[in-house]
Amino acid sequence: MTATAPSATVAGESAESAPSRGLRAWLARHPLAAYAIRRFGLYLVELWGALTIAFFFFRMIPGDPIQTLIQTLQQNYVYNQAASAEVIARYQTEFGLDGNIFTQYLKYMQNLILHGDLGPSLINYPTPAQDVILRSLPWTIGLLGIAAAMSWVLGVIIGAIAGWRRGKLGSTIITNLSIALSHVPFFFVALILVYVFAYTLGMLPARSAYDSTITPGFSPDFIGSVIKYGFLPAMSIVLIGTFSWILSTRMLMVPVLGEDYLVYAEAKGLKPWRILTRYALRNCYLPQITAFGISLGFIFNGNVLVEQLFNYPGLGSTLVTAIQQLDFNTILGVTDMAIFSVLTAVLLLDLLLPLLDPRVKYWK
Amino acid sequence: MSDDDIVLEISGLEVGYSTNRGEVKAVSGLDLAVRRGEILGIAGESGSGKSTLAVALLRLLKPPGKVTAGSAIFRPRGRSPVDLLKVEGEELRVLRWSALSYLPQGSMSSLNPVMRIGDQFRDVILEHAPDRKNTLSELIPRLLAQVGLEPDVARMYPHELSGGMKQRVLMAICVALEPDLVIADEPTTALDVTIQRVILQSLVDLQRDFGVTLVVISHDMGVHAQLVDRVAVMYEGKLVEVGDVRQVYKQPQHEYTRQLIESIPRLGRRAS
Amino acid sequence: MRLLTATGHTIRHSPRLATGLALLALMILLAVLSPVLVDAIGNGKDPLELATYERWLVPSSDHLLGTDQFGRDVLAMVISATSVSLQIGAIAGVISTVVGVIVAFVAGYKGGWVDNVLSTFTGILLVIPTFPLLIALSAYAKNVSLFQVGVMISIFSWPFAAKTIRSQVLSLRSRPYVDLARVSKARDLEIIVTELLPNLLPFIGVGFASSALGAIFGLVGLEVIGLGPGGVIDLGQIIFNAINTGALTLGAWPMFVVPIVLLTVLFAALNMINIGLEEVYNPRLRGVAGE
Repeated sequence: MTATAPSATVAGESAESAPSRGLRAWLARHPLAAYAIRRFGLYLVELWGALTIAFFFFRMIPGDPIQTLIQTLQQNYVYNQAASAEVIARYQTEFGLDGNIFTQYLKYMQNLILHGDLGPSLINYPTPAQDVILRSLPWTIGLLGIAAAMSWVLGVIIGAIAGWRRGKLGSTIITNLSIALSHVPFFFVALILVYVFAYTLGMLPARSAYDSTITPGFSPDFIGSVIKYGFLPAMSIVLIGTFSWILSTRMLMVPVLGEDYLVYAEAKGLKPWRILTRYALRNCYLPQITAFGISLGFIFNGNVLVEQLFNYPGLGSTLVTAIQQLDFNTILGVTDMAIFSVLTAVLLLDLLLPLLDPRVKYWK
Repeated sequence: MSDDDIVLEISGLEVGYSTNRGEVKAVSGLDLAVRRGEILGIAGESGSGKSTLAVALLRLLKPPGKVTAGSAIFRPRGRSPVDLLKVEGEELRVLRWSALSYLPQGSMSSLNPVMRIGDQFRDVILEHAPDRKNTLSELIPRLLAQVGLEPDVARMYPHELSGGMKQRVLMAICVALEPDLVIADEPTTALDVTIQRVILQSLVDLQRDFGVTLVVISHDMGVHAQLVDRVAVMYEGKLVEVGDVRQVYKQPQHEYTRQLIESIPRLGRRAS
Repeated sequence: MRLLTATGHTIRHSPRLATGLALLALMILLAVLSPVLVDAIGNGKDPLELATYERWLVPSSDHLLGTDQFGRDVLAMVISATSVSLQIGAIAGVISTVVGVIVAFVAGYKGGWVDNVLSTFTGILLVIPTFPLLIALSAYAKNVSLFQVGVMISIFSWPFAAKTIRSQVLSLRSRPYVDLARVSKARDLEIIVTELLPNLLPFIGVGFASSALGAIFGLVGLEVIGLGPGGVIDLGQIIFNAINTGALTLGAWPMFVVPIVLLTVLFAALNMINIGLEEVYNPRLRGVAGE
């Protein structure tokens, strides 16, 4: 559809004369709603596609989880009889592993969509996988959310200033540093930070998310401990993340600086700071909002390793443990959760954008 | 003529662009006086240096462009005369808009795409005349009305306006602080012919109502014929002829001027 | 020959591109010379063999970076691992670029629903966390060859290339000379090969650099959590060994710092090539990161 605002009004007027046009005319009158509906449709398609890819991918992993479970149970309860065919069949049903892969898929999706059920976790049998995941989710959202948002804010501000003052020594140094470091895995920085601050200097803890001698709760002690323990993992994401936002913001900033409206703002005799914030920055932070959403999946990938290194009890560590134990339902569940969170975040940012940026032609 | 009647006096102006093949002169040895209250046209083909002249006077010249010689004494009312080519920093910033303002080409995206039109009036007015804060709600609609726009344009964004409307908004902004001198760079280029005429008429009205001095740069001799009092013709960076517009049209002194005048389509002509 | 002069010209005008290429060339040289260098370090012995030297030697003039828990020379290991990392990056980079170019051409040139489907698919792979999926694949990679690792990794790095190239195909497709070719009834393939491809070379270069980067990145990630393919010792594997054997607590920093520095230099070089190429060929960005 290529209707522009004026023609949308025209459509609206003609709909009044012919009120039976229904949904199509209504959508033409409400381009924002039409955009939201279309965007939500795309979200559903993406979500379905990603969950499906994930499901079939993980069903390809070789190995027999039921045998693993039975072994674990035998070890734990000194249960020494060979498992009967019946027991195996029952476990298979329970874990959603009976029937061919397509029936398994349909059943999995049905349970997931209708009941939010991911099936039992293997390591923590019979606890459902979603409970295991929900326990670790807040830690990841806290660590990753705060770190990602911090690096975005810092990166956009520093990048804008670096673009604004291009040609100056400080800006050149920052830019080249960003080019060199923006693609370094978070994990590398984490490793160096841990080595220096935890092992060599002993200033900060190297593992876990809080001091285990403190009871979790809303006490100042606990919160302080969480901040102290989260500092190094967060820093490793913030450091590198900031560099990559600096670089991309600067890339957006420089063409904006050549725009006519910046020359005009200068001719208006506005104060430089005002030109930077109201004219230059405002025109380049908006595309960065979309970019923020797109980067989340990538940040999650890097975060898995950081959590693993710090033994941080988030989704990443849960995922790695689950993989080492062949805990299918949990592996798939963590992946599904990550997919869901990232796609939902992107959707929300996309829906937010037309409200912030008057130029977004949401009716296209 | 006394100094007071000359609002801007340019002498010996040279502007060059440094390229890898040495310096290229865009404006050379230019002397020109702009009288207070007049509309002065600057004519010439593209590449004649007329736009470079405008950016140099507005101090918007960016490297590799550079003013290499000359002065431009500007005499705003109620302020001491300054050399536009030397004034720097805060002094220059304060001079802008309240004394020297700029009307860019309408087809350029001179309006900030993410700010409402009203805010683009507000920020420049508050910057230079903070005492008018309380009168803004009345001032902005009046300025818009002056150029034939409805008050609700203030709530719109640039992309919601047509080319002609944007040009009107720019015109209204440029006279908002009643400056001494407005430099208009190709104010009607890229607008369609019917709108061009209307815009030119509004420019004449504004000039009359606000008593500003207007320097209009245009390649279009038709615009000069319709709008200006005096016209200056530039050719290859030099001023080849200045004079009363009727005089110049009737008896062009320079061969190049004659060619320019002949290039106007006959039907649109009005001055003769 | 004309291509060479053009390349020379490009490099002279972008110090950033030149620096990136020089760094990359240095690393490739290190990789090519790695057998010779390893021999020289061994001085008659095989420095990569278990128990050649004493274990956990601190850096000294004999062992510039010390030895590891099995008595191998760390410097020799790092050098040969660099070569492996580069090879994997190159293999995965080539595969992803080829796949990316094909997808981008089909999507960008054909347009319509084909483009919609392919772009949505590429978009999904770019947005969702693919690392867990890569982990799933790694279960197959207990004993695989270097080439197979490259193929495996490229499954997730091709979207980087596809995205870059598609947007360029879209902008080129509407150029007049492409229309001209279409009007003169050239076949699609002919138009692609003779008109589009030459203009896209720099962007294919960008696609290659970014997918090679993504591939090495992904593999290091796998290895660091101990899911690396067996039998392939690259820089990521050395870092994993260092963590796992307690190099952190023992203070054997060369074991992880040196591979990290090498990989960082590699990432920096690829990124400089990326940005350098974009600056030179994308007029909108010309001079963006410059000066």
